[in-house]
Amino acid sequence: MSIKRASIAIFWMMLAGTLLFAQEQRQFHPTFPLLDGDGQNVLYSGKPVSTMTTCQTCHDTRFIEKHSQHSWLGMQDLAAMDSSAIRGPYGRWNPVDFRYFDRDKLDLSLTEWRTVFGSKHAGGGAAAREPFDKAALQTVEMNCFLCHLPNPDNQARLKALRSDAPAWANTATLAQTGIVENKGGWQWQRAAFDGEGNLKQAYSQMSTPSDANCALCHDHVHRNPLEPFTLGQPTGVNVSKTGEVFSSQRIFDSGLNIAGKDTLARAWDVHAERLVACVDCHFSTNHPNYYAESDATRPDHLKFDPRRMSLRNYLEKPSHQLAAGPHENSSGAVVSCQSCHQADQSHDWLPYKDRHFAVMSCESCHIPRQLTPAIREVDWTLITPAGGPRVDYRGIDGAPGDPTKLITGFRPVLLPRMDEDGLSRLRPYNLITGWFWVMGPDEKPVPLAVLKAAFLNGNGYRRDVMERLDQDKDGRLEDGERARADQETIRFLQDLLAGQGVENPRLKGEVHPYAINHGVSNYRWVISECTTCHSDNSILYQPVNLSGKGPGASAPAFADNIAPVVEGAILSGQGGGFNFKPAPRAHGLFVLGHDTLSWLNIAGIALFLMTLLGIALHGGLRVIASRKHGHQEQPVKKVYMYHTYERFWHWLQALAIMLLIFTGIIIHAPQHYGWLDYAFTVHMHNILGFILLANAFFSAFYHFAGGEIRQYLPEPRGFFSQAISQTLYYLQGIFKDAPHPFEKEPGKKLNPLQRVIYLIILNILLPVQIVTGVLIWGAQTWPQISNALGGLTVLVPIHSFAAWLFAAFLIMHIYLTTTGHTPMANIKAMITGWDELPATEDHKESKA
Amino acid sequence: MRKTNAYWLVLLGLVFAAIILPLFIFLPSQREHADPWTFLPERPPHTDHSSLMKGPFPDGPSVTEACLACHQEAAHQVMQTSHWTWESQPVTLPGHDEPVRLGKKNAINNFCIGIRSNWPPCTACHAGYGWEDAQFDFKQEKNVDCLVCHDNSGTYSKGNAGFPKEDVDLVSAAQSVGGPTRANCGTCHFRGGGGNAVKHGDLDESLYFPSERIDVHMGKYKFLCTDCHQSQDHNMKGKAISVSFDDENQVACTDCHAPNLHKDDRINSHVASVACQSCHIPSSAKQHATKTHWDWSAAGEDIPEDPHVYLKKKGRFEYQKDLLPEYSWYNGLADHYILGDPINPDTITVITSPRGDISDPDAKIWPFKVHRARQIYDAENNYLIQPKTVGKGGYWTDFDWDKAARLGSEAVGLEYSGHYGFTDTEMFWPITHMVSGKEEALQCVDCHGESPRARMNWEQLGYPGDPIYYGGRQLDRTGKLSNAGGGRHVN
Repeated sequence: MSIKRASIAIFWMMLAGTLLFAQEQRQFHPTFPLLDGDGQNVLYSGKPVSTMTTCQTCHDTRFIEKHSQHSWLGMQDLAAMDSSAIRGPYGRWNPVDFRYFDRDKLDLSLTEWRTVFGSKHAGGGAAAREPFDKAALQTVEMNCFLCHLPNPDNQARLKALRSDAPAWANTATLAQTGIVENKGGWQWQRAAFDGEGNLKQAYSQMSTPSDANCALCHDHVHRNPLEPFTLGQPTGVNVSKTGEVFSSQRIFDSGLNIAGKDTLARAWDVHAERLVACVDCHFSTNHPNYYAESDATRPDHLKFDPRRMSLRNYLEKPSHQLAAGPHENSSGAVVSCQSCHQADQSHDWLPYKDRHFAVMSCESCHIPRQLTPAIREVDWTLITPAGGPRVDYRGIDGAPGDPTKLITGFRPVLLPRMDEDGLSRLRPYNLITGWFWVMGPDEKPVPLAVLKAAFLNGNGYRRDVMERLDQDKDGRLEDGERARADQETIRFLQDLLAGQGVENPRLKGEVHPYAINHGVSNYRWVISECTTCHSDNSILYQPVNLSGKGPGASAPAFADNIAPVVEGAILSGQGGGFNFKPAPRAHGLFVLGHDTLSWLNIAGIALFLMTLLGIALHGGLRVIASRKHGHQEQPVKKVYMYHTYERFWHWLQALAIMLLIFTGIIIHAPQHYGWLDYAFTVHMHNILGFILLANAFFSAFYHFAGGEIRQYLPEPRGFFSQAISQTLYYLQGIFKDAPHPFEKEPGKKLNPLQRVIYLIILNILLPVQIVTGVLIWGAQTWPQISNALGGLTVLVPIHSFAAWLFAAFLIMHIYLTTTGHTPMANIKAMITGWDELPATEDHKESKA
Repeated sequence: MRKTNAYWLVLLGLVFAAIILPLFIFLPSQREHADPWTFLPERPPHTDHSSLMKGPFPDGPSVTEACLACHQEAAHQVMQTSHWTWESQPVTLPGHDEPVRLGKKNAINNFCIGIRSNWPPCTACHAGYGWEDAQFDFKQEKNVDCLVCHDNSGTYSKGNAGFPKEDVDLVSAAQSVGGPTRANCGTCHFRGGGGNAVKHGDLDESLYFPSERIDVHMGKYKFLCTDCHQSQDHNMKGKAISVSFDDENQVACTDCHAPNLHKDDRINSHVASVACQSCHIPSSAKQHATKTHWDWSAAGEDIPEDPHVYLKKKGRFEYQKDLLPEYSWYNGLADHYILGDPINPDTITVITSPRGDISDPDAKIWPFKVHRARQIYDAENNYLIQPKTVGKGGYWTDFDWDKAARLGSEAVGLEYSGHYGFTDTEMFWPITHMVSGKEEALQCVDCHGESPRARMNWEQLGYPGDPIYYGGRQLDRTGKLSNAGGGRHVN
């Protein structure tokens, strides 16, 4: 046995060894020659490598370049350029990057573009495109190495881009590979090539981009989980715009100085922690693994079209339009959380699950808080001597690169945005306010070059600027001094700009929302406490600070053509700052537990309180009167007044209504009932509502079938005089211990006032309450019906007003039960069914 | 009238039922697991023995006799347990005609190798008095050492052959008795291998007062050893494969915790193939470095000594702190090298190894500390030698391997050819203590993908590759492996 086992073991060990060995040796990408722009082998020409020519041997680089937003960055829309309508870095101006590219007026020369934006761009960008004069400039080709090489040298690339020989930038990307070396000039290393001039196997390894490749430009991606994540100097563009971090590292293992860090055991992003790589969501849109036909074109009888593009074809023409969120790019392929997740399978604990999914994005709860700082305000009023803006951050008190400053983080603001399915959902955003000079009738931002000419001389601020603003005369302008908001200073700067020929320069404040999609957490760390939104301090209504000490006397406004719908108001804050106060209710969102104090609600409370007061007065007077007159004991007789079912129906209704009012108050104002679980209470309220409905249904059947309904119908003859005599009894007779004007008997249990009130309660109030309740509950299942009746913003106030009427009726009703021949007589009768009635002559027989 | 009264009560009951029943049925239920605290033993206050144990006690056995006056069964019970016998019930092993009993009494390891002929210092940790040689009488009740487990004064300590050290005040120790504390267990179990943290990796003196990060049960929740290692008639639960073959009377996480308690189904799907320990003990030896390698062949040199690097008596060592475990399939059973088993001196001899592989439905991937050593073997007979190290003629006295091998072999009854050499050995020590809080449990990237944190060797475990891409093992209803990660299920 042992020999057999040993031999099997040895076989497996050998096999494993072979596999391991093979794995180290197995390299998929074939060898290839590096070609220059003329198609010559660089080894012989000594020229920079041309990726477009080299890779063209197997891959259709023209196709790739044409289908790649990394190459175009929105340039395809340039022909129809309207500076506000175009997405992406070219057309769409934003106050953080500030520089813009305009066909008529170049704020940025092409060379400048290359050095400013080229660092974040895998290709030549504008410099490689029509209508710009390509020949006049040294262009930079699309850089395949940057994304597909396991160890690209981005620093060498950036250095080359900023040099006067940017054509070597793609070659420089190979600096760490040993293929090329920079010895006062880039030299191709013969040792890396075989005899035929091809790269040797070990040097020719290109692969799918890893997160490390993406991290070279998208610096919210943290490449190495073993290295503590820190905010470099300067902070990356993405990190500072949104505070997003994509890393598998646990936050408490990061190198950031975050408040309460030691409890933050979650990873920066749960997807990164679970090995979802960048390209798993941002995949090539014709990749045969990911390609999925849209529901619109896929025939109904198919759930999956198995015909796939062959890997060969894919490798030849891989689309480099990567999937992304709907508003983040123009590639057309949309990924969202729902592309992979079936949220309805995992949220059973959540009341009104479908309603939440219809109005909230996943990110709203699953990206609860940003734990890195993000820009709050960018102020270009008076640029720094280096030509930059004054930048303020949220989530930290100070500069993000300063490790002595404590990061407190911030809660993203939730704004509604239209999704692909036509529903508008709340999503998290960071709001960045930009202050900048605009000119002319079309409010074009004043180019940076003009700002520099107006405010700076060769080596700092102009003398008159310094004299005017340097209050402490230390020869420098601190942030506080540059952020002067007084009108005189503004006018002074305006004059300086006008001196540069700027037409009608004026300051503008614009708020730009930046969507937050990364940095997702899972169940343990998300917003799952209902009262976070459903209470009087709902985060949906929390004001967010836009500007601490902005220069503008007038408030900033949201930029045009932004993705989210802005509902809310920009209000002046303390010390000249501005806050944005969201108002989701204006967008048709009714937040239970927060949106409560409508006039209808106040009227309901008033009515309830008046009833309470009336009872107290009446009751007090009755007590005084009974002391004065005494109470005459009367002979009584027992009458079987209430049938079993009648009593069952009554008490079930009583208990259900009381519990509904109780749970309703908690849903209404949960902040006072922290000890009760909100979700549990909502579930309970719904179930109680259906119990009430079922009870009402059965009793209606009982009353109609048995003819009991007649008891509730006011007698047509003499109703008014009867009602008046009953009213008079309550107002006068009751204090004199007078007999009830109408005698109660099994066939005629209700007095005229009761009849009319119960008729109203059971036929108007109860149905209104049940119908509005069912519609509020059904807003998730049949939103169109609820919306047709005004939506939650109408239904909920009616429901709560009616609830107050119920409460008022309830106390009135309970009070009036004490008006029997003894205070407890009526209640006892409703419990046992046997009523004790005054024994008049007529009833002597039944007494006997 | 009375009848009517009862009747309305029924009615009221019906009303409540009409409310409560729908609530009960329709309120969303949450996945509830039994509260793990309910599985913990009670800790009744111990009787104060200060008036009962008056003394004087001239020696250890006299204390035991005093104990037995009331606890008449105690010694008899202890004598059935491995704390006393230092060996197992007989087990039939392949390659052996006779059933084998294994235990500290006769096992060989790759630390100090074996106790036979080296008794006095080794048996300082025997729960008895006077085991000095092979003639020790295992039937003497008064030789059971009650105090080593029950002394609560913290002053009791044992010397050679398990006798109390000279300076121990036996009266105050006897008066202090109570349930076993961490100190009682730790005095032997934290110092296995002759010093703090040497042997196990997951048991060392940091566990006397551990932080939450070292051990969540003992640090955060103030557990005692005996909260998990519960006992019945002095028989403690728990054992280790270094001295036993099976997992009978073993302690398991699932004694208290539900196995599928994770909120995440993806994590729960691991529990059929991955032991709790694999994720929840990211590393052992968290505070004190543990020995990972021991080269006996380097012993005997007169060079500078450092107990963590080199000792003339013992050779060269490697120690490691925050030791990453090695992972292997383990079904609770183990193979153990038995003295006299043939070896191939040119390959590594595995002294203890866990049983199980990817096709074994009972096996799970477990974390192990692997202790590697170079130790003496008989170069002609090709088996490991248990040398005499202690005392007259021992290696630590004379530094003569030949003599040590001859004397040791005599003691264990094995023939010694006169030629010895040194060969590589390995021992697997399951890691099961030093459980981290959930905050520090492993994450996906610690085992899967191409992350620099990935710590699994999937091919070695029998998978074609990382199961996150190739799929996990699938066992059919008979427990037969139907797919060792060869592909994923297709709808």
